[in-house]
Amino acid sequence: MIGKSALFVPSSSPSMLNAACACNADSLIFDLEDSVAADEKDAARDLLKEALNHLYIIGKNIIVRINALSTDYWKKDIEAVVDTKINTILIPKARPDDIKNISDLLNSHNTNINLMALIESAVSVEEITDIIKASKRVIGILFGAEDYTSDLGIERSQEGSEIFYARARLANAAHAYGIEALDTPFTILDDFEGLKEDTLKGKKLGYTGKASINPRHIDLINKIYTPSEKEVEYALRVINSVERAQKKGKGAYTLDGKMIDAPIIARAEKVIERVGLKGVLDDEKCCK
Amino acid sequence: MTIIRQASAGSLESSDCFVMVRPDKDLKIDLESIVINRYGQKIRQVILQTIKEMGINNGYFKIQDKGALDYCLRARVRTVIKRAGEEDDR
Repeated sequence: MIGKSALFVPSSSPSMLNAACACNADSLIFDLEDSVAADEKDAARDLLKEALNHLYIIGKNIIVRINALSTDYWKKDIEAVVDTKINTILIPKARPDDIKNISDLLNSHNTNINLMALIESAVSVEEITDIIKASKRVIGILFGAEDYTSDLGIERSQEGSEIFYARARLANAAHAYGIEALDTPFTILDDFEGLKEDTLKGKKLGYTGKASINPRHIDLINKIYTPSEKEVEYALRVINSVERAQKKGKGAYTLDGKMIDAPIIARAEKVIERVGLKGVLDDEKCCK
Repeated sequence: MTIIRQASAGSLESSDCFVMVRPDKDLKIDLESIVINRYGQKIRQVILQTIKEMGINNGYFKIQDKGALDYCLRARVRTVIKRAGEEDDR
């Protein structure tokens, strides 16, 4: 699971690698691409490999963004990290053939590393279902709005109407295929009101989390993507009401004057899953 | 592997180290560190072990340490050896 928040960490900086271990992000995205200068790619690979083998990174998903398949770097990137403790490889400027090629390479290494597609061009937005279906290793997508707007030749605004179509389409596609969708980072570092507004927009469209380039953004992103106490309480009441309704042979029924049917129950189950209570509930049912 | 040219890796930023190597008939390690009194011996040991693991028996290594952890020291030494030898893959 990628989780609610994912922090980009430049793999060329020891101080940032050290600090990342202590941040609250659910996932860390160690970057070998844009944040690393061309003549420092070799050093970043060596540094990241040693860091992954020796730093204590507890309770976080470890993702590595490799260089694009149009470069000479990506195979060396994968070779550097394939035998470390990473969970997922993030593929920039992803196209369906890129996913297939990397999936084949990982098959030859006999590893269970997952893939995540970074969608940052007009063509990738249109190919999203082919990208997701290209390999069973694909567990999530990340929307990259900076490169996407650059590809379209338009300016990116803080209000974000120019990315609405792509943003909504990607969230919908991810849900259609049951994978996670991470929203694009908010790039204005000290504007926390703007971050809140932008994060809520993504959540309303169906994103399951948000990426960030600033560790100070992570707590607010986590807070917004964590279901509220009220939401959890209601979800638990819905789940508990299902069994009672089933005993009475009812497919649809009312709770607090509102109709409860399959979509409402599915939403309640997602809330329970997101706060990590699913296993607890399953255990309780087993014990009854 | 042998040191065939001068090369460098790393930086003088906090938590990093700057490593320079050049060909020499002996193996020499010249270490400067902001924590030399407390950790100098341990740092020298990590550097020497990495050099040996890379199969290097001679070369002049100058290390300016700014509080790098062991993994960073190892990585910078590995990179500089590859850059100074035939494996330079930049």
